[in-house]
Amino acid sequence: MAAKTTLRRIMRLFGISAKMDLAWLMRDTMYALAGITADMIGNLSVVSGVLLISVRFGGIGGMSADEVLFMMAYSTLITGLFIVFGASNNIHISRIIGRGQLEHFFIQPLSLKTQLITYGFCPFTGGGNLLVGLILLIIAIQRLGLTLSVGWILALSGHLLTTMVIIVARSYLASTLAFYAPVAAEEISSTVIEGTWLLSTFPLSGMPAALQVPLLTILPEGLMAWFPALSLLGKPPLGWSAAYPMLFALILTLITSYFFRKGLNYYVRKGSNRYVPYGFRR
Amino acid sequence: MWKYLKTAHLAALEKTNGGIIYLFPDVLIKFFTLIPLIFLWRVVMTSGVQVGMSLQQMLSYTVLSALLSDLLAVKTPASGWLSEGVLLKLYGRPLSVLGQLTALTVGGWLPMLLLFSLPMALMAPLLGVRLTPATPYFGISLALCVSLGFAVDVLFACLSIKLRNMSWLIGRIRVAIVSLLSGTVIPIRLLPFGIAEALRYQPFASLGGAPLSLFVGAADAGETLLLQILWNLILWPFALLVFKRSQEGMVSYGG
Amino acid sequence: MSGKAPTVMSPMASAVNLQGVTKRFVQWQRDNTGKGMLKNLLKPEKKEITALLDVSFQVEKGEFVAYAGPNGAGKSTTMKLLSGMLLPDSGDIAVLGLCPQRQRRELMSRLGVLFGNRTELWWDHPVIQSYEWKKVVWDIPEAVYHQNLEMVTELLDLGGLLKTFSRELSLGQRMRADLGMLLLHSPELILLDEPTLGLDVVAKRQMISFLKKINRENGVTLIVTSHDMDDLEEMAQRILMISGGKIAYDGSFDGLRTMTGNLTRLTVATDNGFVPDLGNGGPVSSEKGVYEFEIDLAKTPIQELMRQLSRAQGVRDVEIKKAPIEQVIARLYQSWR
Repeated sequence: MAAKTTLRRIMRLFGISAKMDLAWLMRDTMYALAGITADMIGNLSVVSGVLLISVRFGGIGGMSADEVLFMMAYSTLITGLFIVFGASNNIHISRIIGRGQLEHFFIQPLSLKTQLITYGFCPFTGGGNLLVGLILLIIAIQRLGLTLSVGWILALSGHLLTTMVIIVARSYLASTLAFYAPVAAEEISSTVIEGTWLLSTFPLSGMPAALQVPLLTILPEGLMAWFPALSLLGKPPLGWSAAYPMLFALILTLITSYFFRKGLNYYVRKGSNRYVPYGFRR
Repeated sequence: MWKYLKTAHLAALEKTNGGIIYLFPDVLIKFFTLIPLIFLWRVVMTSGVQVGMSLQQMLSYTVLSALLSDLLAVKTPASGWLSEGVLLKLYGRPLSVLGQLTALTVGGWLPMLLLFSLPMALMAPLLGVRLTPATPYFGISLALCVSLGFAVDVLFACLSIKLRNMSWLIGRIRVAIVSLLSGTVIPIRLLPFGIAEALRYQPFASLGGAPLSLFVGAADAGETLLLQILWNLILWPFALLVFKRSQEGMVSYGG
Repeated sequence: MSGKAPTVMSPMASAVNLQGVTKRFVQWQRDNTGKGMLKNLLKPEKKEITALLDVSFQVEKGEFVAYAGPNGAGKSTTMKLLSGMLLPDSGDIAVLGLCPQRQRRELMSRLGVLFGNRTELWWDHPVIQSYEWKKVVWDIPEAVYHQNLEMVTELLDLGGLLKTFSRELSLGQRMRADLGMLLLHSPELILLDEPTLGLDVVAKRQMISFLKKINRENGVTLIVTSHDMDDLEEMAQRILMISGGKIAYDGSFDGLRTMTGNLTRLTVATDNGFVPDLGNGGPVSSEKGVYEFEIDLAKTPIQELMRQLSRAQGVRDVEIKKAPIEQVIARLYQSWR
């Protein structure tokens, strides 16, 4: 019964995750709605700060308040996608590794990759920010007077996908440490990803290049919203190619893949002497 | 007292036992968030818009907020531990529960104060930031802020006991509310659309934003301290009452 | 996952085949002193633990095997090796003719694994929702799923639990629901690590009779670890004992008794305060004229015992029982220390 991982099968796996998410929403409606609200308040508290500053100061570093709004819409869409596809710690993988819960995945007749892609899909309870992001995007597009085209929508989708790849790759790269130090590195993914979320909403325009460049390479917070937003507005920063994030995503993915495999190998050789049940399939 | 110090000591060690190296991601992230934030303020504050605060004041405000972040918005292990049932342990020890929570919280602050706050405070002049308080009342205000922070935390913890399954949600909402309404990230007086006036007297404004504003000399000491004392007088009795009522629920939590 | 295990295994092989498997772990040692902390920073102290040392054994299809040993003997490590969660340092492992590390996916569609202190159920969903999730993930054909669901519902008395949230189940109910889920894909081999942990007497009885039934009637091979030796003796035909990472005993429970001296419990009730003298150093306990002796039948044959009893004065009643297996095992564990 170890069926081949066909596209149809992956769709079925996404389907069962979505079905379970809907079932949870219908059964534990109050909790689910509270969860959706918490997600939205959490995101709004981050983006509204920058937005309010831009309104107060009439823009930030050459970006108009409407352009900042567009950037915040992009950031909100990313937050939405992060929650929709990663609600079960499958993006914050250091929690699963550090808590010894990876063993639950080993007993399923699916490749680890397939499980991790499909496992945390929650379009219903996780879609709140995606919706808010879309609303903000529509407002920003109207205020900026942008003309939509198929090419532009494809470019937007491509940028969103690239940003998500960078987030997942960063999380998995940091989470590799949890194979070696499960307790100390259990929360490292959330430290690396959510700890820098505020920074990722900063418009870097107007800052010195000596600061912008490291934030587009070493600590790629500028790639989370600022660079893609300006690229979509037709003014990629520093005169770099709009395709730069894709190159970065590719290199980071390759590096992550190498180190994560090494960590996984270590894990199956040395095992995990730790198991904590919390946070698993809740 | 020795018992509480030992508890605080253990809480500090708990964070470093796995190896100090694993604290560095936190330190680096704090550092790399602070530097662009300084530049962000430099960019906007030099735009020519008058907001009642100078660039120097804004930078001191931002850096001090990062250095004292744990103290400005107190988070005890209470709310997080409830979901794991670990709070029960505190009841099994011959020490007061609130005393243990305080010891554990203060102990938990120490590694970051040593690894991040101290080096950054020494580095501040290099970034063109002055870290000398504009008024001696800053110390009192900080103490009142920490005290109020504990009361607010106890209230949130009690709320999570009441709502059980939703404890992590409450945690998320609380972080969001406190970060925006306390003025630790953006000074409340900078907010547009009359929001600044509306938020000035709410309890969260007496948290981080209050001592920071006094530190940079951007607020009236008398009014700020009075508000802080007032909110302490209101929230502490309330927190203690709610805590007392929640104790039964706390012990039975986790079945 | 690289490893030393071969990829190709014999399709006609036993259910489980371990050949010369060794597994070692490293434990980090921590010191509480300031000097120790500094040392830990510069050169951490390690301690090597040998969980399994050159272990070999086979389990044939249809067998019900108890896998026992003291704490830290290597039981859970063996279970993890068999289910592909760990890679051996050396040696070969074949489960259902497959290599667990290299053919994990194929193996998992034919194997069932359950650790007593863990659950595979989704916490915030009713049990049936977890079952439906399993149907999709394991790609279980509709007919097989419904047939198995009906079977486990009846045998494990799950009717009243299927619509209950997993988080609201008691431990015994949760174990039953987990076992039911485990069987939905018709596993040929089941590995259970401490399945009776924390269960009350009724829940334990239910589980034991269920496991015996699926072994007897469905031909499912079972390997079960437990610290409850009486449970293991009731369920399994064969016991594999591990100690210090090595197989210390492989055979029947009766054989184990013989090995430890064929211990027998003899209870003698006497009148008027007579203390029976059976020439073996006296009773191990006595209460109100009832004396309990521990007799090694290998040293004192039953005929000799009967002769001694007939000579004893004031004997009112006699009862001879096999020594509880717990006692036999405890004696073994002590001898291994």
